[in-house]
Amino acid sequence: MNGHENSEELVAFLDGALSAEDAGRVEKHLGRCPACREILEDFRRTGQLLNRWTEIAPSPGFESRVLTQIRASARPRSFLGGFGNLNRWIFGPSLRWAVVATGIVLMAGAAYWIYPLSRNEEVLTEADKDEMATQIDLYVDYGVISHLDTLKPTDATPPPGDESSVINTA
Amino acid sequence: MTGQDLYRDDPDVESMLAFQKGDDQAFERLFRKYSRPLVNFAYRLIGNRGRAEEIVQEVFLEVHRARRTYLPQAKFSTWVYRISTNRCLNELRRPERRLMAKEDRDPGGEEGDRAELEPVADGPDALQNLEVKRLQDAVAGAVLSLPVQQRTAVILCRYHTMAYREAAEAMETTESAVKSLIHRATVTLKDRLKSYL
Repeated sequence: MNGHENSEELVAFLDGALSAEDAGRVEKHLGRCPACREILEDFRRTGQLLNRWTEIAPSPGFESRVLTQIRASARPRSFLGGFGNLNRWIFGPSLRWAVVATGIVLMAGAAYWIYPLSRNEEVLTEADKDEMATQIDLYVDYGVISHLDTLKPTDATPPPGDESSVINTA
Repeated sequence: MTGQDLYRDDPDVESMLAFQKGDDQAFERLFRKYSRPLVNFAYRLIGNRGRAEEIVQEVFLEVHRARRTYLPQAKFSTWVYRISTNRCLNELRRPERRLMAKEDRDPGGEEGDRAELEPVADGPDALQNLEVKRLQDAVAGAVLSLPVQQRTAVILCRYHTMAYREAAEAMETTESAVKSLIHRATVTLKDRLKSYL
């Protein structure tokens, strides 16, 4: 520093933005420093000059036009507004959790209804298949199996001419 | 005392809370109090009256929509100037806006915009009016040629008499940053307007 006040402090001094202590120090310096007083005066005049850019008035009808538009945008529209109210009713604070809980119960019930259909499906074990293969003729005769290639015993080749033991795979 | 209680003494915060409870007249009171200063704020920041009015409309739409969620966490004026500042800065960042500003820029100027100033009236005082207009143009041009952050700080502190702390809140920056912005802007303005000092 060259013994003069920092010009940032001078601007802040003009704006009353310094602490009492800093303002006192600047004031004391200004009392004995014409160069800083001159800079301060230029800053002051610059600030005053800014006031020459005067205010404008909003265009005629601005207030009423804007207020009308804001009111219109805030008003619920006739058709969608009804749904908006319904939505608020359904998802209002008091009913929101009731709706969610009901949904969970319904989903659980649906899951319980669907699950028995799948859990009763029996999976054939190798032992089942072997047992069925031994009685394949019986199954075929009674029309229980019409399409079950996998059960065809690999080593049980029917004797020629024995058509009764051929599995109908059609 | 909570942070929210700090601002309940602000009559404008009271009006906003009354609006929140269903008093539509309170909103209109706020609009009538702030619309003109905010139009001038936006106009000085972006240099276009029509767009400034549109921005103020958007600001009050946002205030209106905030009805259900509003919590006083600052003075109402600080809050509404913060919304306005953000809207204006968004406007200035728009690509087509930047192009317009570039086309309008003074030959010797830096970044900035030009204000659409009032026309000069004819009559016996026409010469004096012309002089006033010339000075007004020079000041507007000098302010509008400041970098955006400096311009915002100058407009808030010089034209809307905000303290550095309040301007810092509106600009979402620090008080020392505003002090520095104001200083740099003042030095630049002093140089640009030296022939009028």
